[in-house]
Amino acid sequence: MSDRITIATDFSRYPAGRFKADGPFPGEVFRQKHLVPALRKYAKITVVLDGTLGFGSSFLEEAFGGLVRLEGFTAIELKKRLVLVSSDDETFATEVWGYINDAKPARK
Amino acid sequence: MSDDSLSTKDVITLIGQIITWGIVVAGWTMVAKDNNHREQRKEVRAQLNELIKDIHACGKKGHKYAGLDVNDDAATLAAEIKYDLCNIGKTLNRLRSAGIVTATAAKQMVAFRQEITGGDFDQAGRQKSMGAMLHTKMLRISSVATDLIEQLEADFFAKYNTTAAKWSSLWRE
Repeated sequence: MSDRITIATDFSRYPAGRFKADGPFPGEVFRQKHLVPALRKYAKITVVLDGTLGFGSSFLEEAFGGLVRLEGFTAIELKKRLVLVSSDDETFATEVWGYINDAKPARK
Repeated sequence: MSDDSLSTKDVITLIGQIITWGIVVAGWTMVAKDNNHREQRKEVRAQLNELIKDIHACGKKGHKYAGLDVNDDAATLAAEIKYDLCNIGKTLNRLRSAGIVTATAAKQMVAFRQEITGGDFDQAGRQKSMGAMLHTKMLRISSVATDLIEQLEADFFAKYNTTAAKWSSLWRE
């Protein structure tokens, strides 16, 4: 595991869906298998969003918004520890930060 | 007085020639600059027209997807929508890097993508929207598509329909 995750090569070029039931490469799986372990291991991680054949907002919200909703991270903490690279389309990074900022921790 | 020295008449002729050539060079520079500006405007306009066409087409696919149940057609359409949005986003990014569209257009792009691919998009348990729900969903997609297109037009107007551009078009006519 590295502190740099490239979604297109480390996960899939075709990420799709929100939950495991939605297909092989949904946001929930990306969060649980890649994002959370990397954030637990490294102080700062970089996620490269370039190279996929597009994202649905549902995937992005579940993967990144889910860090705050379900995994116990805060938006302030993620701003310091998460770097997003999205040079093909900068709006993906803007959208992801929107989900992180808007997410509220789920009640247990 | 030696024969080599320039007479006043020669000096005046020389200055006249320098001024004439100066005017020719300045005129040529202005025309060349104006031509470049018009050519660039045409190229950007053509690119923008294609982009707007793609946004309309993607919005229509979003309408259709909202009315489909979970089936093969919906899955195919979802893949097409994501691919279209990916290309629209890349074109927008290039136009933004070139200083043609603003950050506001980028925000409108996020809203457009969220409206089409947010919520239960791509989900196994999604259900098609029906009746008033479908109508509302379609209107919301159309609304964000229109906002994005309006912003692109405003950015283009701000960039190319400046006073200089208007003077340039007057000259042309």
